[in-house]
Amino acid sequence: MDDRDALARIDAALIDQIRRDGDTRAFGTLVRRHQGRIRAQLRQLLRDDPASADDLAQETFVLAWRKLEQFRGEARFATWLHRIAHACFLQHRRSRAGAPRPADPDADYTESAALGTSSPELGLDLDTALGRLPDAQRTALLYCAQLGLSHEEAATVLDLPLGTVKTHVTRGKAKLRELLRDWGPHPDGHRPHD
Amino acid sequence: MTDPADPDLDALLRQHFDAAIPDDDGFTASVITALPPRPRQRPWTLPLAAAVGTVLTWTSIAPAPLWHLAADAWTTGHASTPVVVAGSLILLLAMAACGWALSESE
Repeated sequence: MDDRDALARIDAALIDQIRRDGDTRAFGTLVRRHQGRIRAQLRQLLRDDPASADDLAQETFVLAWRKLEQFRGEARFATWLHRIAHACFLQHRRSRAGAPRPADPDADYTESAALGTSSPELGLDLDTALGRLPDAQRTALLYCAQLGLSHEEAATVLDLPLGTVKTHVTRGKAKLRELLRDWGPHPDGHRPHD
Repeated sequence: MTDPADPDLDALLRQHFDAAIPDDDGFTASVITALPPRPRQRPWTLPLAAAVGTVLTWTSIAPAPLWHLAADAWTTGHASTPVVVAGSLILLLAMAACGWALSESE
């Protein structure tokens, strides 16, 4: 939590500088600090389309630049950015409502996603398992378990009641455990019965 | 948020996410290029507009006989129709101003 506070203080100093001087270099520092997690968030949400995810990430930061006066520091800047990114994602999904989606969740697998775990096989399985979760549960796990937001922060980002977020997280984890039963979950990637 | 009941699954999920975090690879530069000019902030605009609006409103409604009748009745302690009407108008305008101020602060 101390690290988070320190990072939040750095963000706050940069934001003050941008508000005072309109300093694009300070904003560049903010983007550099947060781009990885925002792009990864959107790539997880748009599992089949990393290029669109990066376009939405750029849109997120441009919106943050325009609306910086509206950031009042009640939440962390990172949470505020995740909220803007999620709103951009929802708008993108609405605009593509008629577009076809991949029928097979296994087809969503990308090699880069598998690199996340110590075993590519486990990575593949985790990615596949995540793809088989209902959208609401996968999204709740993304914010609470993967991005490390508190339930309250995730509820703010998703604009959902706190209890609903907690339920999605609990059910999502239960289903993941079931889907990953044959693999552990063991961080070393070996199956228990190997 | 790490679930104390399930640290392995949480660690696995976080590891999976962290490894998918892309390098910058020119992303920040492309964002900076796409930034529009920041709108100039004029913090004095709103208070000035409110002050001008108050003066204009007062000078336009002050000559109306309703206010004089209401003021006379009020000073003599009579709750006459002009007092009720003028009081209701003032209350309504105050509530509208509060609502506007609150929506601006959002």
